[in-house]
Amino acid sequence: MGFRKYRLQVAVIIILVGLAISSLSLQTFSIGSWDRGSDDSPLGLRLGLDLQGGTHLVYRADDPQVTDEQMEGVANIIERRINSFGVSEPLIQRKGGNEIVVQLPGISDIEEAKELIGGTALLDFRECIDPNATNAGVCPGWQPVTAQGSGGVEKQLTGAFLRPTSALVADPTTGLPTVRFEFNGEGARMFEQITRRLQGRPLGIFLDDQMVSAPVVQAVISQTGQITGISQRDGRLLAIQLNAGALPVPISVVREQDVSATLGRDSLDRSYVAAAIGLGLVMLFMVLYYRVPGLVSVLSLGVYTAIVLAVFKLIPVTLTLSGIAAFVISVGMAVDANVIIFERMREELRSGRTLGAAIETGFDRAWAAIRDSNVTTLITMFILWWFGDQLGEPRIIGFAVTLIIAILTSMFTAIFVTRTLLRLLVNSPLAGRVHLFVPLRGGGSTRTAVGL
Amino acid sequence: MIDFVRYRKWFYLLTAILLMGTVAALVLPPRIPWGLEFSSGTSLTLKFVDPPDDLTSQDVRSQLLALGLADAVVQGTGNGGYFVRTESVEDDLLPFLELTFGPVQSSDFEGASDVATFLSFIDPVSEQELRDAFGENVQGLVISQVGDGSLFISVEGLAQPELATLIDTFEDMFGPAESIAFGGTADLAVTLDFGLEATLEELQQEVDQVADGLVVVLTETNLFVVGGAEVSAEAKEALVPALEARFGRSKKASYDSSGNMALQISSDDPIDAVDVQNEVRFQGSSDVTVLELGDNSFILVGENVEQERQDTLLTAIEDRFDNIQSEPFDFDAGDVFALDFGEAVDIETLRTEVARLESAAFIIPSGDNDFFIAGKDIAQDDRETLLTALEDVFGLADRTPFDFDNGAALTLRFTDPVSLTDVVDSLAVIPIREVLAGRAEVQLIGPGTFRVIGVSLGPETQESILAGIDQRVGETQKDRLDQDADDLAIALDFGPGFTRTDLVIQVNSLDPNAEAESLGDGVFFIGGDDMDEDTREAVLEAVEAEFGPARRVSLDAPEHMALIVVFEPGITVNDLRTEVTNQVENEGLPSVVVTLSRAGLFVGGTDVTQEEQDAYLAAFEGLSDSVETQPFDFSAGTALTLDFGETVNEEQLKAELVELGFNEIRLVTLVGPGIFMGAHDISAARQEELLTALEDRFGLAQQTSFHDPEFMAVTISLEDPVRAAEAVSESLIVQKAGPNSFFLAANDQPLEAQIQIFSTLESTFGTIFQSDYNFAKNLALTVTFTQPLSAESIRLPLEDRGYQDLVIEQRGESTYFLRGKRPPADQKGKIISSLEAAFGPIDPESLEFSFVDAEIARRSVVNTFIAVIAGSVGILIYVWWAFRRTPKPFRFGVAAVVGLGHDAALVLGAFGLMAKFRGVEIDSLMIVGILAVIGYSVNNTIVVMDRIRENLIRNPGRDFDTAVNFSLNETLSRNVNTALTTAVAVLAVLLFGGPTIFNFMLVLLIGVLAGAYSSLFLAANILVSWEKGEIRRTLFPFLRRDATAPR
Repeated sequence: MGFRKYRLQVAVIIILVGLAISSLSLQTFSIGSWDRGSDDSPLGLRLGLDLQGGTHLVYRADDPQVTDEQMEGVANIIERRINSFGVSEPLIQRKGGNEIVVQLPGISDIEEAKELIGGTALLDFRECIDPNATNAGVCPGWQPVTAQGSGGVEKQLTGAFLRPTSALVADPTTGLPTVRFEFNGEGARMFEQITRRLQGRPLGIFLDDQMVSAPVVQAVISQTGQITGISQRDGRLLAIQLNAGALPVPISVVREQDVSATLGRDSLDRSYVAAAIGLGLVMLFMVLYYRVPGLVSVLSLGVYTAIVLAVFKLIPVTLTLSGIAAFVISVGMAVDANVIIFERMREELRSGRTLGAAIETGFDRAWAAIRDSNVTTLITMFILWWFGDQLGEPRIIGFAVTLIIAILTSMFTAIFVTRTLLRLLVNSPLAGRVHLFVPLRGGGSTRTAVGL
Repeated sequence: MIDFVRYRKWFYLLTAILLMGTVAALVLPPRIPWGLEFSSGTSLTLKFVDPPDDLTSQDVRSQLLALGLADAVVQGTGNGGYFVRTESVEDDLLPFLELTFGPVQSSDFEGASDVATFLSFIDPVSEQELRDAFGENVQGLVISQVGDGSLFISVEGLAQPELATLIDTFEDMFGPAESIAFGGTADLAVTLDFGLEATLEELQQEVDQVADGLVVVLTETNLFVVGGAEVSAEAKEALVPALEARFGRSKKASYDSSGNMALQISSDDPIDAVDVQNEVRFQGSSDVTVLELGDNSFILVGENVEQERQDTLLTAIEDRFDNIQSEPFDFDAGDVFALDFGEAVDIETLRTEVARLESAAFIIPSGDNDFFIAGKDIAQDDRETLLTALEDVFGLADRTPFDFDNGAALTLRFTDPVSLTDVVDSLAVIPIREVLAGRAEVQLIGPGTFRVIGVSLGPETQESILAGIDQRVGETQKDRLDQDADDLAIALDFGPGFTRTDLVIQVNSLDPNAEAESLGDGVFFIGGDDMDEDTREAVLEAVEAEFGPARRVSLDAPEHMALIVVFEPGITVNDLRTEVTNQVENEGLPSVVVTLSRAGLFVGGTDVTQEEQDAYLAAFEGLSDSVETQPFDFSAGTALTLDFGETVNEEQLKAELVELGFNEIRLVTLVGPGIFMGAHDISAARQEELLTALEDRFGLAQQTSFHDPEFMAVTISLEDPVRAAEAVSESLIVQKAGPNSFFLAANDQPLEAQIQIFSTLESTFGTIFQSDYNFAKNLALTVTFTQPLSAESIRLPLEDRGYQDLVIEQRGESTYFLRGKRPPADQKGKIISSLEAAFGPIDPESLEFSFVDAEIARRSVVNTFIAVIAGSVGILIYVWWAFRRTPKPFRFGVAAVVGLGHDAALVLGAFGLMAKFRGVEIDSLMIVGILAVIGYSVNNTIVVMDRIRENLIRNPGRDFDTAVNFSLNETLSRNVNTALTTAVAVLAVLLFGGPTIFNFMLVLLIGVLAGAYSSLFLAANILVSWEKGEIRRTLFPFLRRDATAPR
């Protein structure tokens, strides 16, 4: 009869738990374009850099007057560069007016990646100021080379006129690393004019104001050009950078944090074990101390754990080491809600109420305490979130977000799940044995039952 | 029921004690290390793959000190790793060099009139060829501007005819000049060396006081030339004593005055010489030299070090290193003396000499050609013997007057204003020193004295060389080594890979008369005057015992040449190459390869018809009056191209040839992707053997034999010395950077000179690809130290600092040109490369790195304050609102905030203790810990207050403190249980969560306990005290009169 009365609630709990467990048991799943999970992490959770290794970088534009569009451009170009570099699940995020957060999980050559991301890669072409110079060596100085672009406008030839098809090749005759690039339609027309004009004269190719090569123009060329005299590695990076485009403003690293993958994996394994042990000990304590309600709270804690993890996976929340610490604390807090309720219930039972009445009164009276205590904690966590965001510190954000989700979930499980389960018990044969709900001896205040 | 309220003052007392402890933990030394987030900087955690056995944190720190990171903190992490932390910003190379080696002068190559570039040629070009294109440097030439259009020029080792040429050239370029030669009895030209004491200005001032019109020129660091025309005898006599009075004695100086320092220190513990050196430098005594004696013993020496400074230095060293014993030298017994040789003396040579004399003396260089020699307990007689012996070998020079027979010192006065640069540039085209036919090596062995050595030259060639020299510079004194039975003259061939130093030291230690010179590619000349048969054999055997058997070519035979002459001219490979290029361009002949072979210049090419071959030979004959050509003898040699694809380079092939035992094959030239090779005097069987061996090694090769009519393979001997070398600039630096690729740099080259350099190169070597030197990533710097250093001693500290691929070229006595890859711009790269250079590779998997710039750190501090204040205010306001139905809800808010402030303070105190005892830093994770504790403990406090609120509302009549006490007891069970469960969970993670979050969890544990305490004993009691007016009475007693009585 009791079951029927609360079947809606029970159904909700079962459905929620079912959904949570199934979403956790599938490593990855996708509904339409909505993908979640990952193949190489426990339960398919998204792991932070401190648990899977990688690099966290904060870049800032060197020019404080940088505009919003420029920063947007920087972010887009960094994203394109990283994508060509082959990093799985990078994170590129603007922060504040002039900063960009870049997270590169599981990356091996950090220095190369930093070089790739941070280089301005502004390519331009120059001619010698002395029209009689026949070789770069005899050139006293360089000036930008211009030609008529579309609409008859005189424009400077730069890397902006390249197709995204640059590639590192080995020169067929010398075997040296060579970056071959290709002009777009307008660029090709300009290059043709320029090479016609500069026959027998050097054409300086400058990257970030540094001459990388200065071949003497031998023939009229329109479509392609090449850069020699660079190393294999630089050539590879340059090709990617040319394809992604030049950064509109120079940037530099202001915050860097690297974690090696093995260290991260080690931390992950250890903290899983630790969290499991912590959870187990708490559950043991609850059963021993609160008997049947304790058992109920263990069940409710199980539901809580499943829902929190599922929420982490579905949003998804990036799990960090400090997030795991937050989860452990939240277990204490989730239990706390139950403890408040149970203590209240015990007081009500001792003051002579029936079990059912005690449960209802206990919940009602506990609610204000649970609400107020959790709201104050939420306030500090939201502030912590802001703080972590300001700092560009993923560990702090991880902690705050984890605890916020955990507190909201724990309020739900304490009030809804525990309550429903206890209500079911009221109508069970167990309800007759009050001593299962009120221990004869226990810690603290058991000797005095003060009803008010 | 526990009466919490009644004992509240005791709880306050306990709280006060705890808070005092917190303050003490934070304030008392050692200083709390703030984390990177707040202080900015760099931190790394790392582990060496295979660390040295006794590696300590101190060693790692020393290494970082050497890197210039004075504030570096290094801690062991307990599992064999190290935690490194530094706030230093990037430092410059020059201050570091000064710190390490004393004052330096330097010039970079980044200016507009400097040249620093990479050149790549399509055609094969060797470094020697490129160098030859610029001629040899003018040695010892000093030019100084002494007035408008007036220059002082002096050079040692320049014969009169050369001097005339020099002046002629100047006049050709700048118009008629009035020149005054020095050399009359009334003239003065003297070189003076004062050690480190005098500057040019000071010296000039002092000289001016003695006589007018004297010129002082700094030739090398602290070696001065003083000169003047028509100087009176009195002035000449007065000058040197006056200068010595002002600057101290300029030569052979005794160290036995108390103002000088000579001290031996030793220790039982291992001490690194670099550490001692650094310590000495840190004490500001960079003029004190540290000499390592082995066995942890060092000698410290320095001139003009006052007793006080000596004492400070010794104390500092004793503080820095354990168990230092020190012992001053006994000056009465005459243990210490300084020597100054006028001519360049190599420290190694000097040491070898002293070692040979079996003397216990130690030698270190103390200045230009100044050596410091010291030894314990050397008897007066032994000392004399040693000095005499050294004088015998090196000649102990006094203040030597300038040698006018073989040197020049003159003043040129031009009618038109002429700049110094003009004259130096003009020198570039004057053939001061020329190279012989490419087969004979010319070495400068003393002032105006040269040695010419040639193998397989033939008597006629020798005669013509001698005749050419005589014709050019007049009759010269010649001393043939190979005509005296007591002389040694032999060429030794060890194959490529041998350095001259190896051999020279070896040879010199055997016989002081014997000398060894490298002829390149492992071929050495060994020679010496007046040596008997036995000594000669002994030298050769000893050398072979050391380096393995060598092919000996005695130079005694008439077809060889070995003689000492004065001055020489020559033709180079490049002349021939230029000719070939001309022929290709003008006459359309196919390109051929020209390379140096021992039999002469070798010319070869594929697909060259007979007519074309003849055309070439005619052209070569036009180049010089007497050209002897002989076709390549294929029956006794091999000339063919082998194409292995592109995987084999010239060096590899040459090395392989040596390894396979084909030492005799030297003529190997890379031509494009294939390999051209040829050699004389190889039997047909040997040729077969060679090919098989090479193919075994490198895989099948495509072979093209030259033994066909349409191929050309010929060697040419040029017998007429033709002047060809074209000097461009004496300051030009040329270094090989890759196959056919070179690094070229020069300071202060006017545009025209730069253009000339490149046009010369292009006309000589063909098309050039040029790319600028990237100074951001690479180093190019000329530095002059105050004392001569070995390249190795410069290299090591630079490598310690993460410089890579260093090429260090000596450009003068103590001047070096440094080139190489700069360390990575960021500190991470610098630190890692430096530590790896010192202690071996770092396990990349162990590496953790963090960097925070100053701006972010500053923001962190501000944001932390904002976060803490915003958190407190937020909680205050919320509690105020939530308790609005109780009387005085504001007090609840304040009490809650006070409670959490207490918890935060205790957590901070716990950090303070951990910082002191566990080396933990207060970083952002710790801020997380504090805020987490705040969130958690306010949770507890609210539960208690909620019950107070409920009790107050339900029983309005009850005493406030009774209500509070009831509420506390009612929530006691819950509070204890919650604290317990949370503590258990935290403890589990603390114990099993690993080292990374151990500290963090420890903080949380302390915070959870502190939170439980403050909720029960503090926050609620504050409400009671407030209600009773105790707070006002205690904290604000002056308000008493205005206040209303407590309700």
